[in-house]
Amino acid sequence: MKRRTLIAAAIATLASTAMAAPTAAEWANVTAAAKKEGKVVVYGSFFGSAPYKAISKAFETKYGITVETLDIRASEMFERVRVELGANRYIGDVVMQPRSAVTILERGNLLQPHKGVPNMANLRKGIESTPIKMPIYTQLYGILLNDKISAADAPKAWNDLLDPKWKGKIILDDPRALGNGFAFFNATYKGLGADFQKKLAAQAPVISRQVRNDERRVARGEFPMYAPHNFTFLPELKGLPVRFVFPSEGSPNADVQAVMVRNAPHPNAARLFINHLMDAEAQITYANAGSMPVVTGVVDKVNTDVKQMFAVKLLPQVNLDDMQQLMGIAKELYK
Amino acid sequence: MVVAVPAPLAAPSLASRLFGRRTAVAALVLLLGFLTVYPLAMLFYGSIHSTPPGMAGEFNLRGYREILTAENGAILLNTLLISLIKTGLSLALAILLAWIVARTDTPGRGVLEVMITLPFFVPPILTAMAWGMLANPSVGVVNLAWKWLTGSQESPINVYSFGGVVWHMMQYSTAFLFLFIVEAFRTMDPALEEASRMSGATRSQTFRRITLVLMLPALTSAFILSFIRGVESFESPLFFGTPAGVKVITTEIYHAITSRATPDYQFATALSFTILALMSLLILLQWKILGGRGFQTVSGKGYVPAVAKLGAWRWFTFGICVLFIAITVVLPIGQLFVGSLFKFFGFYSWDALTLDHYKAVFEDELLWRAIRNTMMLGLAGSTATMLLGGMIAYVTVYTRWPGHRLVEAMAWLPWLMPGIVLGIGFLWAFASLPGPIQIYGTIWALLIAYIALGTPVSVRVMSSSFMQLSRDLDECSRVHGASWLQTFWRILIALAWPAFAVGWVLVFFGIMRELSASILLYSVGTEVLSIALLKLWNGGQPEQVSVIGLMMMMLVVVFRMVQVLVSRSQARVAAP
Repeated sequence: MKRRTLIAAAIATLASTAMAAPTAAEWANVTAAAKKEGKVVVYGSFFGSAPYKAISKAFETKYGITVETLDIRASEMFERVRVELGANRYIGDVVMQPRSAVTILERGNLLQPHKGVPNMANLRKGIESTPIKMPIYTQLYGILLNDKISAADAPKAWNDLLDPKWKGKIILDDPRALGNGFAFFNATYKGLGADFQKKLAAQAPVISRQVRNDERRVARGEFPMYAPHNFTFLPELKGLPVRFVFPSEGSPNADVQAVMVRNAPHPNAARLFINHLMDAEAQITYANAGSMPVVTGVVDKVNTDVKQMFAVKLLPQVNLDDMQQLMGIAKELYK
Repeated sequence: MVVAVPAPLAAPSLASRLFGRRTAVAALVLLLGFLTVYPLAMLFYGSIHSTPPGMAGEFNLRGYREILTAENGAILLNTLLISLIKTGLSLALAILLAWIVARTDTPGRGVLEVMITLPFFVPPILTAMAWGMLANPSVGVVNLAWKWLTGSQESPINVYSFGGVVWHMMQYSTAFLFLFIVEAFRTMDPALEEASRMSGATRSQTFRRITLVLMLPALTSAFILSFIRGVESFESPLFFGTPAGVKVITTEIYHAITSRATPDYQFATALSFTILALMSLLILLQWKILGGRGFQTVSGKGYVPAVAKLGAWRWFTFGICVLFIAITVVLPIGQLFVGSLFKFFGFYSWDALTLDHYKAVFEDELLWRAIRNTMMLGLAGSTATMLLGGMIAYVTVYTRWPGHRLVEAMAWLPWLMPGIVLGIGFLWAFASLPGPIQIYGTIWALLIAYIALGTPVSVRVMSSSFMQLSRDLDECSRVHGASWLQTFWRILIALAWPAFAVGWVLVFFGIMRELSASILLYSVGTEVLSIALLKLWNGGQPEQVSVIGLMMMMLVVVFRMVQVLVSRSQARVAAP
């Protein structure tokens, strides 16, 4: 199994370097065929995300193609897609998920190559696509603080959370569970060393998985801080007494990628939609909502209050190969 | 007072021969087999196979082996303890409230009855949010009020605790148990109680020795349903228990499915089957307690339920109900209402007052599609579920047909399996059907799952009610040539109408709230309300969730008012 995975990865890497964006003529055919298909079905865990709604609406207006969205919890995506394909029920066209979740689908042979899209040519340096996976944006994590914490007291680095004055006062997204909490555990374990997590566990943080409730608990002053907080959620908290800090050591982060489901019933509309997600307008919408864009020519056009994210150092992302082992360590530390 | 049950008479009519007992039982067994055994069989396969159905793997018992640890044993005990405490407290409270509403002259009983049941119908996430704000230890409204009143620096209440989990679960179970018990009180012929009083027993002795004993089917059914639901409860432990380190079985199952790199279905299903086996013992115990005894309190004769004249004490009982309503309804739902009128829930200032959340809800087309789908599924699903539950209850209560015990056991199954796992069972089951049968991805998948999930409640409600009906009614109908189907519809359902109505409302709102199966079975175009709520909640819109919660409340009030009025008119008709 491991050998097969390695061979598949090698083939994907080779194909990636060889893959080229389609020509204008080829893309015109794709666009025409997509319009005939008339619909694209997108699976994701958007749950009412405002930027996603706006970008989908713009796609419908621009091409006259309906976007049907199915929200599924990330943990259930693999089983859902696997069962559908196993039963020859081809419903979904595109899946948008963090890289680790998409890789699980890829390893389960549930995806098909996207065959390239024009906006691939605009990818920022260091951001790569594969024949299966297309990067869309990167989520960044930091610390959410209640405004009552003075600038002098406020933590500026992850290591500041280890100050004894914060003992029992940090609300922590569950580091043992797949999601923001584990992204933070993985990044700081690899980026700051095992000792950091040991000391943080000794700070007796309150562990929770109610992301949207926990940020409100910080706003109400139940806790002075919440970590890790997704920078994407910050614009929605405008008006509440909270602020966001990107710690100096770097930000845990997760690439969100778009892929095509095997035997997608609307393959052309799927490619057109993936390309649309990488259009400058869509990327600006994502960036203004606090997600790092993947294409060039966007940085200068985003709102000033989110520009700080472009200067953030990125910590290591979750890697499927050592994920289970790290989760075991997290479970031991945070009993 | 407890009488032996004679064997029912057979009616050798043409209708019976055409639609006889064997056909009836076989049809029920087949139907229940599809609704309950089939998805559970898929799950059982999952529990003994290293991979889910359809994937290459091997048979082994790893899932069951991993359960056998001291930590899991402690978690199991913790789960049982939480459920036992909350069910015991809720049952005592529900009996008191039901007695006040059904059997005393306490003023305003109609309105009190509707209000007492409201907490059952609020989505748990909403009351969790409200109680999180009311009773958190640092800035909770109740704690701040206490400190202000007493000058104390200590917060007396912390909802993020073992007690908080029990408290939040009690909001639902008390209302749920009350719904069961109040009808049982109301439909009780007072002749036996009067005989007891005339024989010199005090009111208290009569209540303990006659009233409660006669209500044993309803009470044990309600207790077991509520206890099992407590063991399988998920929202309260996740919301209030996890931050306090309180672990229960369902949160372990949730973590096995959602927290690992790939969901560990084998462990999750094995743990669920262990729970199923343990809970089955409870049902066997109930069969043993009730077996061979009769509890008929409704005969063919007219009667008026006895109403105790409490005199000045009726204001005391009124006060108890008002206090309960104030704590469980006014505080949290008032908080939701106020929160829905401000930009951010819990942040109150004049310039933050807004109706934007109402506007957003009313303009959300997808939400209205979800509401239409839910109403359609709710109406069809609850009616079908109650009819099926009534038939099963008839077979299990009124007959000794071969297979009647099997039918009863099969009807219990969905209640014994935690919802989060059962949803996976339905997903695997519907997707594995042969080619021409396309249920997966259609609205039928949701309807069938809802019927299966609601059947245990409908059977309990209807069988508790049937057990209180005199057998003379059934036998009289059969002797006059009616088939069992005619007897079922024209005699039993007609007489058990109040219970049918209660069950219908319970199942209807169960469908409105159901999430675990819905999220795995819904597809594009078949969105339902619980999914819409989840989207808004996860999308950081608790204010809009509150608006929908309040809309649901209004619907509940209308439904319950109609139901209470109908029940009362039925009672008047029944009166001589």
